[in-house]
Amino acid sequence: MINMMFHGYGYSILSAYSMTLIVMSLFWIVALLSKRQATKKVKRYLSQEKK
Amino acid sequence: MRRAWYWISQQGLSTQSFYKTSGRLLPFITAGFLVLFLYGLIAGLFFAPADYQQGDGFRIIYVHVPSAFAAMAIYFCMTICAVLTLVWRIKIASLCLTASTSLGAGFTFLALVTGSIWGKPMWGTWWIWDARLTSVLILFFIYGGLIALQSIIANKQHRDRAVSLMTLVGAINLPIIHYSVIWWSTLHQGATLSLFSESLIAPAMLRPLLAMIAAFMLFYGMIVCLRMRNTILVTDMKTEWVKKVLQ
Repeated sequence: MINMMFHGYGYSILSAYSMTLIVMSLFWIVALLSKRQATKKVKRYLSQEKK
Repeated sequence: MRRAWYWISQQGLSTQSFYKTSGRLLPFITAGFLVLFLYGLIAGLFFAPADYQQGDGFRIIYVHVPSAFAAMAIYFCMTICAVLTLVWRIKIASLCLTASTSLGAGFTFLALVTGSIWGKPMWGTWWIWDARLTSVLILFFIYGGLIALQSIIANKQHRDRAVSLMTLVGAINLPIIHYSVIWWSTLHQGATLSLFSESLIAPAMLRPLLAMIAAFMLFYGMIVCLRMRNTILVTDMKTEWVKKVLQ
């Protein structure tokens, strides 16, 4: 497998798979970060409302 | 019947019920995605036999085809959401439409890039103005146009209507992409998978491919649910149910 990855079509396979993994993980990270942000925003609003 | 539909559109498809149901479903969708993705990745890279013509180079199929499938399937979902938004003004349909555009653009980008990476060693060129490639590039531009439209219209109702209309107009590109390899003589190969005829791919190669397609669609479901839940939380923050959820 390692032999395949670094010879012949290996670089093409590596770049296609790594590109896919990078794009998918970016989407996931951004979604989780915006979840955190949204929860913070709502909690801030609720605490202000209580005051 | 009319009353039942009214109840479904107002209560069953309300943001509150979506938030609760998606919260219950998300762990299963995430687990399903991880299992299928890992299986597809490992089986596709390590266990699927090499192609008799392309050798190991064919393994790009396990990211290229699922990306292209997801790009088109997401647009199909968006078309349904556009109809639901325009005709019945269902709020979660417009939320789904908004949340799907950048994901669709991302998968179209991946399909184009991985196809290009695959094309260079197999065809001897990164790009050719072939019917399939050009129609997918047009799909990418349509996604770009929808993202731009979302950001330039401030009024939510006008924005939803404009995005839905443009989505419906852009849907004409879906059959063109699908049939491009049949209607025109293209460098791109014909369909590998078909619902109505026997598959042209060996079962040992097919299983990881199907797993990856399912994984990509579950990933789409997972990210769309997360995004819609975030939007709902912010837009409904003055309601009682959001207070209960967060307390």
